[in-house]
Amino acid sequence: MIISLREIGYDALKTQLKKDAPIVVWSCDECIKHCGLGGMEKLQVLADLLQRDGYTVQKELISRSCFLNLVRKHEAAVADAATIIVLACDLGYRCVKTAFHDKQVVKTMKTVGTGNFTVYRGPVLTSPLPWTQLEPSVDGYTLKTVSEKLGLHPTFFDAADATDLVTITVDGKPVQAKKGENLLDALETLGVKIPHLCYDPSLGLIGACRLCMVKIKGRFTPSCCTQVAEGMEIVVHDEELEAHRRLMLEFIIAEKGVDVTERSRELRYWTRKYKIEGTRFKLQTEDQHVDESSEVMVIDPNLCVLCGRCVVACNNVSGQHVIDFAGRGSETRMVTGLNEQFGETNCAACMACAHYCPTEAITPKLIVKKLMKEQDLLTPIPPLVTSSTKARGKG
Amino acid sequence: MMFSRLIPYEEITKQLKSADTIAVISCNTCARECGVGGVSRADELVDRLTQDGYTVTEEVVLQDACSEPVYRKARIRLDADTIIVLACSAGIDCVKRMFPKTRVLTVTEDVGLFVTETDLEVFKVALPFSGFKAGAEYAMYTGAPQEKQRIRLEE
Repeated sequence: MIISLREIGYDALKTQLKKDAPIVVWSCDECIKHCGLGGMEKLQVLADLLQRDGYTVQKELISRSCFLNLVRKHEAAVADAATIIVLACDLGYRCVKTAFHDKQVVKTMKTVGTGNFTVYRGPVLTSPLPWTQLEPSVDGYTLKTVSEKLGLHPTFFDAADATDLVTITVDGKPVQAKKGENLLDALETLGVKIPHLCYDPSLGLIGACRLCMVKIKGRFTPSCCTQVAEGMEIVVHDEELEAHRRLMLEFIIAEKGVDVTERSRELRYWTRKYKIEGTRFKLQTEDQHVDESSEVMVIDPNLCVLCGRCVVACNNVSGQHVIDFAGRGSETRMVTGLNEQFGETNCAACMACAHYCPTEAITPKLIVKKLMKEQDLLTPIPPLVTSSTKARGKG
Repeated sequence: MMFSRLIPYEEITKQLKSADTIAVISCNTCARECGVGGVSRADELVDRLTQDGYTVTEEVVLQDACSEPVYRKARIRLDADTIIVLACSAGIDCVKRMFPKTRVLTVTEDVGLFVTETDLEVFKVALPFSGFKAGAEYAMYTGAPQEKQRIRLEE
């Protein structure tokens, strides 16, 4: 992954902006997000800060800002903007500047090299670019260390007090939440977990799975499609809502088979939480062809719950428009290209669909081939094996 | 994305002994795009090593060889005592940390960071490492140098 750090402060950023000029805050959804300086969450923070200070701001997320053709496909999103603030590496910034050269494009990050995402230390820089004058390091430099050495910032713009808080009631308890925030996000921030499959903050509203229903003024309301407002009274847990969520999960099992709950981590979590072991409905399952034609991804329609995340990710976050729905009603299915094998489409391999799929119906390709068994290693191996196919067949 | 180049095959085999048991780990992201990694390059290298009498015990192709969680999720157990990594230096460093008791060969060199045009199937080096120049364009999936410049990139 590419390692970048923030090079300007919020006040310095504002000196480059005009109050009457519409702004698009643009973020890459890949390396910069893993560096803690981009992605939808950071887009929202910066947009909140700027809106509080009186600027007109829109947000735009792209799966990979270093893919010039994908950047160009986001033209409509920046059409009305005078200024684009870019949260991306130097490559992503230059692609935006190239694609939208008639706009003011503001750089906020500085790329220092490449590195790893580690489990315990987060992102580390292992292969610094020459300008940093740092030596390569297998263990890697933490972003804090690199920032100190190079005079950059390892954290995002300060989000403190960027938004107004309002009081809402959740299951009878008064709590505070951000005004205008997505209700499902607000509930999760408050520690209230509700099952949901189609909603992800980065993708916006879909409202397809109907799992995240709550009651507001006694009416069933999808929390993912509702904004927090002062005085809102929300019921998250009651018998009727729990029965509804069970019913929705049973519908999925009826359509996809009982083993879907074992193969998909997300469904496994929720069916176990609701103690669902089967379905009262007639199973509608039929074994569907697993598409392994792509070099980078595998699509298993047997796990697809038609939540629509991959469709939104491919159309809005990537811009490549390779995945969509076809058919109607019970015949609805997810298709790639013009109903082709995935490997035959012009997929840019940005991985947005796999990243957002909640049920592992789309996953990055992982191949682990054991070419020799343990006992093969104990017997002498002839010096020359003439058929590679034969050698592989041993595994 | 990172552009890395594979060293000549003979340079790879110079680092190997006939008794070595070898695993090939191939990155399916940047390395695939610049023609060093992915499924086909891993297959090619495994075939060639096997034909030359080396013992290849594992072939692994994974997304983002530079990300530790990927290895953890894949739960890879290697019988090999030597690993050849078809990835950039960041991927190689990650493998060295994930398999600290196994010898890891460096068989690629970093050229620089690139922007890509997947519809045209070309990429352009924008931030080079020492010894390389910015601006050169290459074909995706092979890394073959392109005579004609097709990406005009603003500074």
